[in-house]
This record gives sequence, C-alpha cells and structure tokens, in this order.
Amino acid sequence: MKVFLTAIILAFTGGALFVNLGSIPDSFLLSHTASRFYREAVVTETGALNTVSAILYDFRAFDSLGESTVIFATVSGIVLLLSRKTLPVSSAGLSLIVKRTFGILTPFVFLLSVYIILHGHLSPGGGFQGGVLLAVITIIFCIIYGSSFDLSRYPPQRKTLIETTGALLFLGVGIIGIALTGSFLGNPSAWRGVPGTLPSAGSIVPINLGVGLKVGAGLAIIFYSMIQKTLKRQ
Amino acid sequence: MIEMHLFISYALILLGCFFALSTTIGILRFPDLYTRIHAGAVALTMSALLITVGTAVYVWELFLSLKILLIGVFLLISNPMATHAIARVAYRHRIAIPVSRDLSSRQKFEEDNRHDSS
Amino acid sequence: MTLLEAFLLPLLLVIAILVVAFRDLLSSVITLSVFSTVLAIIYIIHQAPDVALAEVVIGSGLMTAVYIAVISKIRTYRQTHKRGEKE
Repeated sequence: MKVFLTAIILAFTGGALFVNLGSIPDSFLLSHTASRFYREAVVTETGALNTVSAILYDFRAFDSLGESTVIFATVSGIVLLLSRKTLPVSSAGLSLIVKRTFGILTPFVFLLSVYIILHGHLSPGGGFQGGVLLAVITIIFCIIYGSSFDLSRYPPQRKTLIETTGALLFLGVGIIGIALTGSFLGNPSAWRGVPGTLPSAGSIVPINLGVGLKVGAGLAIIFYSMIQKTLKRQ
Repeated sequence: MIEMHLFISYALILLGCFFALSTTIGILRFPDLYTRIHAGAVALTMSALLITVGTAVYVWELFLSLKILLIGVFLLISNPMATHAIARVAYRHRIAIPVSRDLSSRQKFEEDNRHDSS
Repeated sequence: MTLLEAFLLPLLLVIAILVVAFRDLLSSVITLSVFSTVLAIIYIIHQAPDVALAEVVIGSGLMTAVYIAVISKIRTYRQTHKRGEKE
C-alpha cells in the first residue's frame, strides 16, 4: 500500500514537471532577449572574459551576496548545534609516509585554490570553487595530521576572522560601488583595465576574493566542528 | 611529422587502457583485500601515468604538456600513498584478515593484533 | 547526443539506483561520490566547466568527507549508547 501510494505521488509529480517543461517559452524568445544581451555586453560592460563569473559577481552580485548570507547562517547554525567546550583529542593522524606525502602535496592544493580564485574572471572557476578547495586543506589537516594540528595552526578564532574579512570585503566593494558609480555593487569603469589581463574586470576580482575567503573559512568551520569529538582514539 | 606524434600518443594511451583493464580484472578476480589493492596500486599507477604522457604528447604544446605531466607526477605520488594508507588501516584495525595457506603468517598477524590491543 | 554521453547517462541512472539500494551507509556515500564524478564528466561534455569544477570539488570531495564524519559520529554514539545499556 505504501509503495503504491509512493508510486502514485511520484507519477503525479513527474507528470506535473513534464507539463511545466512543455510550457517553457520557445527558444526564439530565450536566445534573443536576455542571453543575447549577456553575450554581447559582457566584455564591454564588465571587462571579464568568463561570462558565468561576470553574471554571478556583476550582473547578479546581489544574489551572490544573498548566497553568502545563506552560508553564514548555515555555519552559525551548525556551530551552535555541534560545538562544545571539549578540546580535540586526536593528535595521532596517519603514518609517516602519508604525512610526508601530504607535506609535498598540500602547498600545491593551496596554490591551485588561489589560482582558481584570482583567475575567476578569465578562466573557469571563481570564488566559490576556489573557496571550497581552501576548505579541503582543513580536511587534509584534520584527517592526516590529526585535528590538534589543525587547532594549533588555524584555530577557530582565526577562521572566523578570515570569514568575516571575506564578508566585509564583499560589502566594502558594494559600498565603493555606491561612491563611484551610484549603485550598490556597481562596477566602476576606472578599474576595468584591458580585458584578458589579470588586473582587469573591475570589482569582480575583489568580490571573488571575498567570496573565496568566506566560503573556504565557513566550510572549514563546519567540518572542524563536525569532526571535533569523533576522532578520539581509545 | 604530425602523424608521428599522434601515432606515439595513441600507442601510449592504448597501452594505458590495457593496464587499466588488467587493474579491473585484478580487482574483480583476486581473493583478498591486500592482493586487490596491490592490483589497484601497481597497474593503476602505470595506466594513469601512461595515459597522461600520451595526452601530453597528443596536445603537443610546451606549457599545456608540462601541466598535464604535472598531473601525472601528482598521480605517481598520491596513488601508492593512498594504497599504503588503506592497507595499513585494514591491517591494524583487523578489517581484513590476510588469506594464506601457511600458518606462520597467520600466527604473526594474530600476534601483532594481540600486541596492539594489549 | 554523442557516444560517450549515450554511455554515461544510463550509467548515471544505474549509480543513482545503487545509491538508494545499498543498505550500508558507507557504501552509499562512496557511490554518491562516484555519481558526482560521472555527473562532472557530463557537465564538461555540455561545455560547462564552472559547474563541473564545483561538482567535483563539492560533490566528490567535501560532501564525502562531511558525510563520513557524520556517519562515524553516529556509530560512536550508538556504541557508547549500547555500552551504557548493558552496564
């Protein structure tokens, strides 16, 4: 009976989704209004070559601000639920071979994440992807070296400081946009530079940096507060 | 001349695919966790290295080839390390007991575990 | 639809069914990371490298670690709970 009811509900939902798919406006409207505007105006109006990054952090930058607020709320909730006053006990980590190998590999992970964040306006990637790679470094420290190593190198207070710096950088770029162009998160034309070079694309680069710091530190705090009491060795 | 390096790259990639196929057959057919990850370590590292070198020959530009070769170097470092970590954890936490016909290695395993737990 | 895509999309369906069908939570999580990797390859075929990068890093890297942390937390809680009942 339960399976039958589930099947009926699934079939009904699938049918409703199919009907909605049929009522999408035809491709002429889609390809001749918004996407055509983005395709033609993205280099002249923002100076960025990566269209996705230009839409995320310039045309729709207010949405990205909302997304980073969502991440902030998630981090606050998880830390409120999970963090206790217990110190992490695990200091053992894995064997010496694994530790030395990750001693070679971890700087390259950091380099790749900084590259993805800073080249967000030129190549695929951006603040979010690079920030998640920054959070992966904390996971490496917690699992390979033990979470007391992570506590001694990057204590949670410093992670909170990094996250707040990212959020303030985002908001500060928005306020500078008010001062220079008259609108919140506007892209000042004096910063644009030559499209295709590294210091170009106006306010997209500092917004990428802010989102990267914020996402990286936020996800690192989430993982650290989850692993805190579990790595205890008997 | 262009045909030549394409030919070399195809040969390298095909050889890498052969090693990947032998890895899969080894993981499916070997009896034990340790022999299975032995297949995963040796043959898979070789296949990944051959495929990255073949791709680097295929694109044939200096910086692009160097980047692809760097990926190959990382695979060469990280894959045996992961195998070592899996085998060590499986041995020390008694997840998998080694299958062997002679009793001496079995007894040595039991003695090691008794020494660890005490 | 290319040949690779015609191979990868049914594979994606099979992996998704396997994720739900496994009774062991750890196998399910590892299969979910395989799902993310195959999905990232499909994104790259569809010319969306941004989404593919996010999918690889989040889906098969970060979410697997977070899920495994939660599963180990549940297991240690259950073990201590059982031990408390016996005593």
